[in-house]
Amino acid sequence: MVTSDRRLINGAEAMALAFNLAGVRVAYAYPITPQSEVMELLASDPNITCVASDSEYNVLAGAEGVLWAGERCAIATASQGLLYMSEVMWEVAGNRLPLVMGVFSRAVKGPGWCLGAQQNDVLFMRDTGWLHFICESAQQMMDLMLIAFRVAEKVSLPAIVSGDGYYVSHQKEPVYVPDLASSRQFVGDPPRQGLPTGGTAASYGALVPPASFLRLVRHIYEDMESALGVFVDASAEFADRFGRRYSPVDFLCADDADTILVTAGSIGGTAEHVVRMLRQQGMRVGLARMRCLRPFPAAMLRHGVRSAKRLVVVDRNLLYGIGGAVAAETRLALDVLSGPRPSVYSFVAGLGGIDVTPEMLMAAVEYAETKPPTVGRPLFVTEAGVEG
Amino acid sequence: MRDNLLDRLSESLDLPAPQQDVFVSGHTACPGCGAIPAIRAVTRIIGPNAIYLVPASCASLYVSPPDTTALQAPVIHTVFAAAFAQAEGLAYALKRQGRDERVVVWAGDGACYDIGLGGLSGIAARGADVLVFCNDNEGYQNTGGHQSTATPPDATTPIGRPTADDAPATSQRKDLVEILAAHRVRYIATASPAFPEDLEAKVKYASSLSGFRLILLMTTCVTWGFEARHSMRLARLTVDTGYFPLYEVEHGVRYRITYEPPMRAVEEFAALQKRFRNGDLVALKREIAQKWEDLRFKAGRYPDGAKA
Amino acid sequence: MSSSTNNPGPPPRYRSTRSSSVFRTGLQRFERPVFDYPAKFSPCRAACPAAHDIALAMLLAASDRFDLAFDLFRQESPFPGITGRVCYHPCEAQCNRAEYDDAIAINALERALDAYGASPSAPAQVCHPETVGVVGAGPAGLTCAYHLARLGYAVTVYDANPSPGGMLAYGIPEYRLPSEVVARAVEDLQALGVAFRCGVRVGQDIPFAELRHRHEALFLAPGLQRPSPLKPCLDLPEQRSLPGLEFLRRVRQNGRVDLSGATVLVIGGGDVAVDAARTALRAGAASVTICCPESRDEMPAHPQEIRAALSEGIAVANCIAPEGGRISGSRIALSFRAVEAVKRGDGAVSFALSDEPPTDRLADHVIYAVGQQPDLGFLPEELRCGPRIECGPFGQTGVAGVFAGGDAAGTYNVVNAIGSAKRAAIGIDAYLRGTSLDGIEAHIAVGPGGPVSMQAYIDLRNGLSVTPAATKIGLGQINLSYFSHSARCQLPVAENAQADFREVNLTLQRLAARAEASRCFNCGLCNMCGNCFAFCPDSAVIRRDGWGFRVDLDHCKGCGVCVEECPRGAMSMIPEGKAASHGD
Repeated sequence: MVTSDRRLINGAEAMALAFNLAGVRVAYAYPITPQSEVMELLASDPNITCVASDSEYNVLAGAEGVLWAGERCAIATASQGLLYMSEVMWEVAGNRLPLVMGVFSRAVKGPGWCLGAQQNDVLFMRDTGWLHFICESAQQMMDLMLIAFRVAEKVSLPAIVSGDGYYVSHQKEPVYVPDLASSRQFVGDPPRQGLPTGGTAASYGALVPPASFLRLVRHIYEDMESALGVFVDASAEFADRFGRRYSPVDFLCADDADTILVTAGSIGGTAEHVVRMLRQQGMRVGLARMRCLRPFPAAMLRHGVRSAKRLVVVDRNLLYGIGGAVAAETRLALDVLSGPRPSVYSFVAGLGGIDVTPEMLMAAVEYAETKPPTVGRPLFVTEAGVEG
Repeated sequence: MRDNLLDRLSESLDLPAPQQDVFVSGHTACPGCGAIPAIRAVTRIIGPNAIYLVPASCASLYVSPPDTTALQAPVIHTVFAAAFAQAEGLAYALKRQGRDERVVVWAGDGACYDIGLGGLSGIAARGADVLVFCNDNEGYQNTGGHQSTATPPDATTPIGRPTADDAPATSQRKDLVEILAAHRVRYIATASPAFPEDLEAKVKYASSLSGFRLILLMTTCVTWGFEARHSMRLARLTVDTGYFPLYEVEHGVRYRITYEPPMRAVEEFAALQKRFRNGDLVALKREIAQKWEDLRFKAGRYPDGAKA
Repeated sequence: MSSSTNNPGPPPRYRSTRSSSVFRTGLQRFERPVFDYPAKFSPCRAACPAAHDIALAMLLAASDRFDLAFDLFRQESPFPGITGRVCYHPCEAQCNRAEYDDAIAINALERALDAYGASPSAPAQVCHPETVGVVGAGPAGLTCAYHLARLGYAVTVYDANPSPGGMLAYGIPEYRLPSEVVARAVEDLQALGVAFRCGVRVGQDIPFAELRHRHEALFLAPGLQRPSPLKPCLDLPEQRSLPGLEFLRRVRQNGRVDLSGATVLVIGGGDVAVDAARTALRAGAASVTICCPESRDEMPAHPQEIRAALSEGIAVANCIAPEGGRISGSRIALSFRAVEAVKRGDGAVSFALSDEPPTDRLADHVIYAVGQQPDLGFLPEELRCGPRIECGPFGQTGVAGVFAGGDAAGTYNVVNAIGSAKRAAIGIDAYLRGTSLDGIEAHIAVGPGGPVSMQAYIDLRNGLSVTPAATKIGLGQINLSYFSHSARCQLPVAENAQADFREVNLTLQRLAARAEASRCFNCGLCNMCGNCFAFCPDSAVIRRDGWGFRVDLDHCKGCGVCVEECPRGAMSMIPEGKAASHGD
């Protein structure tokens, strides 16, 4: 195991450091709160050519160009910027370019500007073929970024590494920063599977016949599925080197729990505190924290919650017409079970950056233990408690 | 009658070597497409040591017909507005890797004038080391001739235009050269496949420079409604009527006119095309007059016409 | 270094490397272009009795390959240096460029080819046992000998004069055709292997029958040796009145004739009359007047000759004809009557005279040139039927093995004589080889009924396929977008040349010649400008190994741009499914 430097940094600094440790030499930058600091840090790095772009769309397009040459690239965005990239997101994944993008999730301007943490932005990209790893702390941002390079470049799919805006981006915490040499060793050389040299006839991404389109799309599907195993292997190696272990879904006290909280993102920290507290009070509660949202670790989740009676899913997002995204995907994951399965309680909390307090989580747990499960609509949890 | 004689003669004469096409046959462009002679010439002059990017356009189809490629060089097909930044990113990365391929974008007027204008402006303002060719055929031809801001107001289009009651009359097409000149980029030029020596000189010069360069090519499109065989004749008329001046702008300020057109009647040009059947050509003529007045004034600042 | 591989190989992207040329886009075509220029001809070539490939020669000259252009002309005629001086250039009258700005100065360029590109003939290989006799070493006889020698025959030319040349040496004045030019041409024929027997008059020094015995074939080109008589002049003493031909011969043979201070009248409106007039001037005549029955426009003499005569101070009196001549003191007087109309037909000329009383003109000498007749006395009866020797399109007379050409057989100038001699050479070769000439005109004539090409004939005989030149290219087939107006070159003229017999017209400077040749449209000829290649939207025009381009029919979509943009009509569009005459 390598001894790492320990620094007091926030998630933005951690993200920038991770790009640097991974050996990127080109960055594309466009400012948007709460990720602008990442770009400022990259721009001040003398080893990195940082291009100040004119829009996020062109940030992603520019990064795509960098990846075509088989070179790594650093980009980060949030909210509006991520949505603006939509069209190109599909193209990057379709072209099998292993770009790693950092996102600090922020609410999207629907009714009005709202800069607080909300995960709709990254969840909007679930369908695009990008991998998605989600962090709840600056340390996790540092670590999952490095792991993301490994996984993305192995399966040849791009990856989002996200954290909730402000909670992860702005709060400083002690972070173990791996040294450069070990990081480079872990991440390896960038895959030079880009373009052939000039003079070679090779056309990429042109009009494709439907049968070939199907074949290519199925490859993406299968390779995405295989990413879980790759993540597990890479994480194991990461743990050996750096001492911190990650799983696509991390369980805490879940084996004998009746009620398991399911979270993704920064709510997980609060949930851990609540679980430990309720355990001391003798309640059999547990926690499942999603690290990997794409691919969704359905089998692992199923296995981990197999003996629970109920799942309390707390989503920091809202899909109009559906409800909470993690709850919906959890229900889908459980759907294959033929025998008894935990009931799913879907709660939505923290939209627009409202703090999710321990009290709110306890209210949700209490509701789940006393009332029938929700059907169709989610329950909204605020300071005032659970609302129908 | 001379059949045999000419072949015998060819052995005694110093005939020029056959030119090697980098863009080959078998593609799906319309018979008489005015863009292909341009892309053939451009790719021939630039040579194979380049990487091309093609945003959504007719070229997305004709550069790479199903499962094949017509270009003897790597080409990346991109979504509509993304080619410019992609080219820039690629150029940066190639440079970091010490590779020497040129990065060239072959885009239509839709991408350059409209949906990609932001991205084009961005890389122009940043001086990206990219050579952009705007294949301007005055509309979204791939979808059926729908108007772009490059379509002349006198032309009929499938979408039509707001009537005078709805909106003030559109005065003329966007002037992409002026827009980019305002960015003070290294080199902009207009060129036409009907004037091959002028085109060749400009492509060669642009290829010798670094930084952002754009060459605007006016090419004819059969969707304008003309007989296929008139393709080059019309291309020549776009220039000879003064409608499409051939000139260069260096650093955004040094203008140089490279051809003095005989200023043939614009009716000659319009008469051959269906899209001008209903127009009265007033806007076209006004655009020509204004453009030349402006161009002469600007070119007059540097009367010696020397390169920058 | 890294314990796990991060380079799993190229991922499954959508990538195509196969060339699009596998798609045969030519299948959708309903018409296609062909390079059918071998089947096309320029109007200049069709107008040239010698069928010179003028368009191609111009191309070669413009490329500074006067040598190749010279060789090209020599495929069809023996002495461009001579025709480049004395030909009346019917080609220029048909030049398509004339309608656009000025006709190409083809005649001057022919002279330039000789000046800058001439090379001597190598001895021709005699490969046939038969020999051919040529009677008359004038333009026709020399030409026929030339072609026959190149076809592999041993040829002997008989001429009554002391040296060869016929009209070239004894008729056309030196200031138009220097004797060294003629001498050079004759030397070249000798180098080729043609034998000359000069000072031999057939029928007198050697019987015709003897010739028939010596040679398996004969070509008769005795020319028109007998001046037509002019009755009013016959009444005058011989020292005062002379036929033009005789006058010119004396000047040539004797070197000079002194007419100092004389007043000379020249009767006749043709080239011989004008030649005689200008010669008389140079011989010292104080005043020379050409008197002819024709109006200025009707005069048979070449307009540029008339202009030259006028510029030299020679007067021309039109629409008068002499009625009678008498001595008048120390001079002679001819009375002229006004002519109202001139009628020509069947070789005879008649005038409608005015009723006005005649007027006298006084002169010291009268020269008359009112036509020539052949002297056919040496020929057997069957060849002496009419005013000229009758012969077919390839010089065949009624007597097997006897061919005829030149003025004695009906031509009326040097280049026409050359054309007829070539046809006869073809006739003789076919006769001696026992091959048929049926249908051959279609293959070797430039346009239906046009002049014939010797090169085409040779290719045909060598088993090569020869595309008939069937389509004339007019100005309408020229894409004028590719040309800009330019004036014809100035034709250089010697200063004050009328003072003596030095050559009046000079050769174009080499650069001027190239520039003038560059003005040629090259009608109906591919000059490899490459427009078809450059403008093809399908990369379907491909350079051939030899000359020009071909169409890749697998990919050509038949748009027609190439044909439209060919500046010189070297291509055509034909319906799909129709066979091309040439050029697929």
